[in-house]
Amino acid sequence: MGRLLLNVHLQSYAQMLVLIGPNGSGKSSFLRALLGLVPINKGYITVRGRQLDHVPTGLGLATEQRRLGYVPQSYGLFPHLTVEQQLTFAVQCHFRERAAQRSSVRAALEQWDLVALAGRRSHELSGGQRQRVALARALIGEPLALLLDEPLAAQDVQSREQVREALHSHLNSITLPVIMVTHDPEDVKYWPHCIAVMDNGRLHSPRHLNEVLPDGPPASPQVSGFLQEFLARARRQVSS
Amino acid sequence: MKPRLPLQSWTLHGMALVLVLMLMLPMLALIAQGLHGDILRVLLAPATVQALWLSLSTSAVALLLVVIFGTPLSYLLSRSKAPFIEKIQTLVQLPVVLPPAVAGVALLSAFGQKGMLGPALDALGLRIVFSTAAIVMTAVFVAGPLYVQGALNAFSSIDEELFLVARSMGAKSLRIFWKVALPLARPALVSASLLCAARALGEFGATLMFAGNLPGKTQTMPLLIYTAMESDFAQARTLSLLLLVLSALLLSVSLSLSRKWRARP
Repeated sequence: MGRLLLNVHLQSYAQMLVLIGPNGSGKSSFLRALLGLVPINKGYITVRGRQLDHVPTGLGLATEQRRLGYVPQSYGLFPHLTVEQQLTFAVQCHFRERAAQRSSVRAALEQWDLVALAGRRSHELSGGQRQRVALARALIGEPLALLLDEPLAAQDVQSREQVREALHSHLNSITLPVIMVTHDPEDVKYWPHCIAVMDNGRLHSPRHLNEVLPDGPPASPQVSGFLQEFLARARRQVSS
Repeated sequence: MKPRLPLQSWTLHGMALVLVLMLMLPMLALIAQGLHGDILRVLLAPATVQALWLSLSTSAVALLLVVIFGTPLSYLLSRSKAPFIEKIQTLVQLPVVLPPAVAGVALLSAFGQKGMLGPALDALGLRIVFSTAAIVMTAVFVAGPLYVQGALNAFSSIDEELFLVARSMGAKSLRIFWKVALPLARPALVSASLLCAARALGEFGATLMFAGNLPGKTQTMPLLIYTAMESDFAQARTLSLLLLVLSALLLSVSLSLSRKWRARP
């Protein structure tokens, strides 16, 4: 995609926003723009009152200044660090004092039921455990919002439902905005209330799953076809 | 009846064997003939001890300089998306393929008395040519790029997502380099530095031109072997065997670390 039209008038106060669209529609690019990896050339990005980008004044915060928790598809766990060290790495970016760091890590290990896994490295963890560690690490720094990029794509089919249920449970326990990108209809099962469609770089207004239709005609038959199939499967999941 | 290997397999194996023999034969001959004769007398001779110490110490210093300054260079080259970065990579690695004589002339052109920095060095009272420092500088010039290339490959192979995740947590560049990139690349960096050390240890042509062949001052092991060839080939053979063993040791540890790094989960 050469140009991303992020005409995203997204004043969503919902806790969970699910962003759907076919491959190549711009979902991941949207996340990358939020993370400051893709410069915007018009408009602004504000998250919970904190301005991250404001083109008219030339403001554009670097990724490390944006305070956005991010969990990529592959979870991004550092292969050389144990679970405890992953959390310590994250918390060292926010607390200078060792005592505060240790206390924060201990609390996170207990909150996310990771105490027994503290000494393990990522290749010694199951898919669900890796997801827990990634979430704990992304949230330990008290970010403004949490961004999840296809959180279940890395799971095999057999374990996906179990991990999806666990994700639902984890996200229910946090109280900050979450944007989840997915192209799998089954992922909206637990969050049908706030769905936004990414259509060839254009983000449609978020709505309930039962009311999702693109504003105006879709940009391409591909998106139309995707939506038909996606919505049919998603609605079946929600009603089952 | 045993199954017969297909003809193509014999052909491939045969062709491979030709190059193996061409590579192995000189080394096997060196080992076979070098083991005869008065090994201890040659190895314990003052000239040998001096040359060996000079080779090992200057290679170690060169390696230290290359690792200290080459690691950040390789890291930055691996992370940069600037359009001219490939050209910089080519320039940095050029010394590896330069003929030794060309490398020697280049070093003299820069640091020789009549070189570009000659007057400045003279004014400071520094004379680099035909000094021990010249051996170190030559080793850095010819062997450094080997390390840079290996380190660059190591850093480039780290999953890009890890850097992004680290940045999203608020980690700044130096922290990411120290806590994420360096530990992940460490085995490959060690492997690359051993290769660099082996190359530095064996450097001959450019050293001869830039540092000279002064016993006790600039006569490294390769230069001692060269000198010995003119009067006592048996001595040259024994010294060569010593250098072969050292080089083989460095290379095998380097390859072993490289295999371990590739097999990491």
